Amino acid sequence: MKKFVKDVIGDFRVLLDHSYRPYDVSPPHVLKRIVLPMCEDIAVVLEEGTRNDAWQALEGFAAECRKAALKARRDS
Amino acid sequence: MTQPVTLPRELARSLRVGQLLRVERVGDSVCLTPVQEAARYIEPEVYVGTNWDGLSLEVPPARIHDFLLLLGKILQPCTIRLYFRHNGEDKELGVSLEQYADALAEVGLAATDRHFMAEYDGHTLYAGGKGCFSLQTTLAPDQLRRLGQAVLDVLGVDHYIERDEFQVALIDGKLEVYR
Repeated sequence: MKKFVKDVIGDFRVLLDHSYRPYDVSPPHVLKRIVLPMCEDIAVVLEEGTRNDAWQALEGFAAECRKAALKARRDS
Repeated sequence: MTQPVTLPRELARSLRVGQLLRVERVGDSVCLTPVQEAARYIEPEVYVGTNWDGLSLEVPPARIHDFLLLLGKILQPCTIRLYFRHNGEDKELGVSLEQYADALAEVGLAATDRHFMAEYDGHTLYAGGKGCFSLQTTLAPDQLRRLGQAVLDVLGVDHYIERDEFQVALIDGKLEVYR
């Protein structure tokens, strides 16, 4: 898997990760640490990647979603 | 009036503990109007908590080097890949555990950047920058608890983790144990 695909999956993971934090994460933290990096990395996938790279990124998102949803069900 | 007022039971039932109220005059009546509370956003100095397959972390930027060294020591990987950006250029280092400390010295302050990423065999550390990390691991829950404990220890947080699922933060120098 190309580094820029790993990057964008990592951004998505960090996003989900923060939603499990037990305190109110500040909007500037979300913007600087998650949203802006993710916007930048999505643009790189679109500019430099192939369709397969984009597909791998979505598959990576889906894998994190499955694991996070499983934890949410376990915790509820 | 500075003294507390005990409310009649039937009125107290309709209120929530912690709710803020404003005294207002409406016509001839005096009313208590709920006040919208401002959200209390938190930026912890340290946060260590489990997520679905690893740890969610806030590490003080000045301690990132110690934290990264610890990960190598605990995870004991055969191979380590470090990705980082120096002067706008993406770099990648593949090293053994023995070469890891030297490689981290080469990474330097780039480890505080959001472009930093580290792979330790099957474990991956993703960075949001300035010490905001998400670690994906294949560790068993008790191993993950020991890793979390080691991270708290290296960061000087005095707390013993008793559960496999844990969330601990240091906020304004005060320890908060959520679970």
